[in-house]
Amino acid sequence: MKGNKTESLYGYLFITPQIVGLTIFSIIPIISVFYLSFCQWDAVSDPIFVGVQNYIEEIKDPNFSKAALNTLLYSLIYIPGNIIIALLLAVAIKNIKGKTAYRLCYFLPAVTGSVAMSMIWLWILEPNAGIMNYFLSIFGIEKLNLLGNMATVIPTIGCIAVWYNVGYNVVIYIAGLEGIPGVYYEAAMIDGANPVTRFFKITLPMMSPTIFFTTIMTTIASFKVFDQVFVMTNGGPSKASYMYVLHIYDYGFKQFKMGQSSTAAVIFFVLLLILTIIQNIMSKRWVNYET
Amino acid sequence: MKHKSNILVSVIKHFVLICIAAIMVFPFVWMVSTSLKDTYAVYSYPPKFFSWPLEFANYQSVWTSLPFGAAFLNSLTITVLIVFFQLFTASMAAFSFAKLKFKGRETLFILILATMMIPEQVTMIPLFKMFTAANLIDTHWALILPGAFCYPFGVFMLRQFIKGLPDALMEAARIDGCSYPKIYYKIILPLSKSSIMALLIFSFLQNWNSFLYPLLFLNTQEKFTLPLMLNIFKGLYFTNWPVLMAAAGVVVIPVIIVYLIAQKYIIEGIAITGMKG
Repeated sequence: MKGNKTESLYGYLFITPQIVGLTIFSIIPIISVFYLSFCQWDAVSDPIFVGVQNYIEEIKDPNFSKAALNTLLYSLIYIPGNIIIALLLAVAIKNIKGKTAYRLCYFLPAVTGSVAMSMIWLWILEPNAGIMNYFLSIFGIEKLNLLGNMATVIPTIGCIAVWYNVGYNVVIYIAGLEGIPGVYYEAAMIDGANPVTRFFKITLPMMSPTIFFTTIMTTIASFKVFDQVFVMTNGGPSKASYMYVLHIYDYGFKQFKMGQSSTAAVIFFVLLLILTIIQNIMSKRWVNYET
Repeated sequence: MKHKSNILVSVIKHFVLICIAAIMVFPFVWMVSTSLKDTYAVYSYPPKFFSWPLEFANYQSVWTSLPFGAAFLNSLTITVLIVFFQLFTASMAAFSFAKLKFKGRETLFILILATMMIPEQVTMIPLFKMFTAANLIDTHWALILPGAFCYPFGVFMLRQFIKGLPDALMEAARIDGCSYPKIYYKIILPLSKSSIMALLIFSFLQNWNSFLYPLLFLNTQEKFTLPLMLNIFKGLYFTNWPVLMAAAGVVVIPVIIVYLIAQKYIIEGIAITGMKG
């Protein structure tokens, strides 16, 4: 009996730092953001309770719908682009000579940091002297201002984000592929299955838990896009790349409408939760967990 | 015949893969190349890779115009403190959740899982409010404290791993009169070295490159982290591309060197943290 007492004493003791930290820096703030979303607050005086007014204003606010649509559009490019390219690259380099070197190159951008890589791309895409326009001119394409054009800015930022982050998923997929027993492929080869059939009948089903996990992570990361747009376009031109987190930041820390910014944050949180739940339900239909 | 077509397929495959690898690497090569040119050479058409003489003065202007050295030290101090304390406290909590029995363990663990779902973008305003009240705005504590003591992902990951370690080890140690703290650092820590290393790498990269919270919580230049300093620099030297690329180089080149040296561990670490879904 005495042993059990010490055990639970140490049990509580060991979790205390993290539980206290979690409470202060995560749980209290998430409760507090719900409360603030019903308040008017300018960051200086005390918050004033105004009920659902912020929510009504936020829904009517054109900046809200703009930010939500832009983020969705960006995600439609970024998520499939990242997952599909990462999967193809991983399958292509899995059993190849020079695998380590390829993987080294594909993961390189991911270690470099968002501000630095954004600056490098600003220079590459610079409309007058950027080297991208030189490459395009070889193919007879006129000078483009990819980041300064309302139609191209989101696809461009999406592609850069794929370039920046695809290495994470490549590394994870290679590790996943290495976990598939080789006998499956050997058996399929004896039965005369071609590479495409093998990909769809063995690789995809066996990889589905990993693909599911990375899709959730990539989706969440996609909706949180901030650094790149903040550094490269700051939402421009004329809000064509105004993303959701930039919207929260803008209202909170530029215009000091902290209450409405909290409202935007709460809506964001609820949307992310719903999305994760939907993905979880959908996963039951196509994820094949090994039994 | 079959053999020949196989070689052809393999050549095409390598060609495509090398092209993609070139796209991944080229921007950094171009960064270095631009950083060694003078202001006129960057506008030469067609663009040249290197224009002689190499202009190292750009790096000098980076170093003298803003306190990049101080920013480097700030980033290093903040990141090391966060990573150290977060792995220490998270591994301790993970050990407790995985191996020790106490009332309410499952409920508290669900709490950990739930907080994993809370993104930092949602809690930034209440945190700002809290740090303002506690007088921690514009101090490094505003970055270190949440980083060090709020790491549910780490608790979750390490708990999954430690749960897989055999109970018999701990029971034997208990019979020998080993106390729980001793079991933690003599048995659990050494055995979970690989997972802890993986998390360490993952977390180091994340904190080193973190931009949002420093942007919100730091105001004075002397306290800035590297990404923040780089962002300020961009505003100061707008359109002076050689100097801007030198600044990006100052930030990126050390990271790339570390990456090249430790690539095996970094890539393995990322694979481990990603696999446990």
